[in-house]
Amino acid sequence: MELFCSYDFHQAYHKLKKNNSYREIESLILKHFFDKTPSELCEGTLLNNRSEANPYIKKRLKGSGGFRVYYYLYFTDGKLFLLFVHPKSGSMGVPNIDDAFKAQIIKKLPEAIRNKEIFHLSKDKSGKKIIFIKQE
Amino acid sequence: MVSAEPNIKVLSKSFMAYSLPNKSEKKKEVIIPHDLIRQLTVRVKLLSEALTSKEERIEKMISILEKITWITNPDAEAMLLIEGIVNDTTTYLSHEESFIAEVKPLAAQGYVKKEFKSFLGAYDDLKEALSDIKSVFYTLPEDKDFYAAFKKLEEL
Repeated sequence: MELFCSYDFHQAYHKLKKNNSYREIESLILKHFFDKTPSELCEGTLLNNRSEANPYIKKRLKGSGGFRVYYYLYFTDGKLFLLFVHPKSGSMGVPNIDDAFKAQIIKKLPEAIRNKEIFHLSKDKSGKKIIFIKQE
Repeated sequence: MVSAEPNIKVLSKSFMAYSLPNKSEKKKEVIIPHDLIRQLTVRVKLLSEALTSKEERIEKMISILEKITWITNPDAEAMLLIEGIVNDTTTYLSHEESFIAEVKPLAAQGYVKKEFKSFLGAYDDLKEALSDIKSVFYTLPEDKDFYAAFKKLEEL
């Protein structure tokens, strides 16, 4: 699957990476989202189960006290869009995001794709770092 | 001389009565602390096991709650079962809340501190999973714009 992310994800991710307590976020994203089969990515909580649409998923990374990642799997085009990430504990930790925000981050996606306000994600040569490239 | 001079022999004997524990006291000295420590160790171990077991149970509950969200377009019968699961989870969380209140003072004193913290994390995750189930089956379906977003995405 080809990986992309929204501005919301990009901003949240980089805030976390600057904080020593959350540095592992990069290795966790690499481990859980790169080079995965669609069935491996269909795990967690399915947020849009009242339609036959492509899945919008919330995934727990590293269990309790870890991170929560929201993403949309666009099977049709073999694309995955990371929409938001937050930690559960620590100084930037939140217990959950509310329904309005869960809805807002997906509602913004069609427009963001149309306006190319998204980033493409790939691994660097070492395979240990994520490269974000803004879409032109 | 106002009063009689103290007799060292009498005082010495009296002092020894206090300074040297008798047989019964000696026995208690050995048994009581040893017994207490043994009982405390056993009880703390039981509590530690209970916390670990509760955490494992909660992780299984969360896993099932997550799987339930993959039931697409649930019919009335499925929704009744989901409602039952939501109610059971709410009752379970309330039961564990009482347990937490009981164990909290012990953990504050340093007993089962690590296990308690880990259990609290799992308890919090279960609350989160319950909140997500409610979002998926009750709140988000009411938001027409939410589902309209997927239509727009399919049309791109």
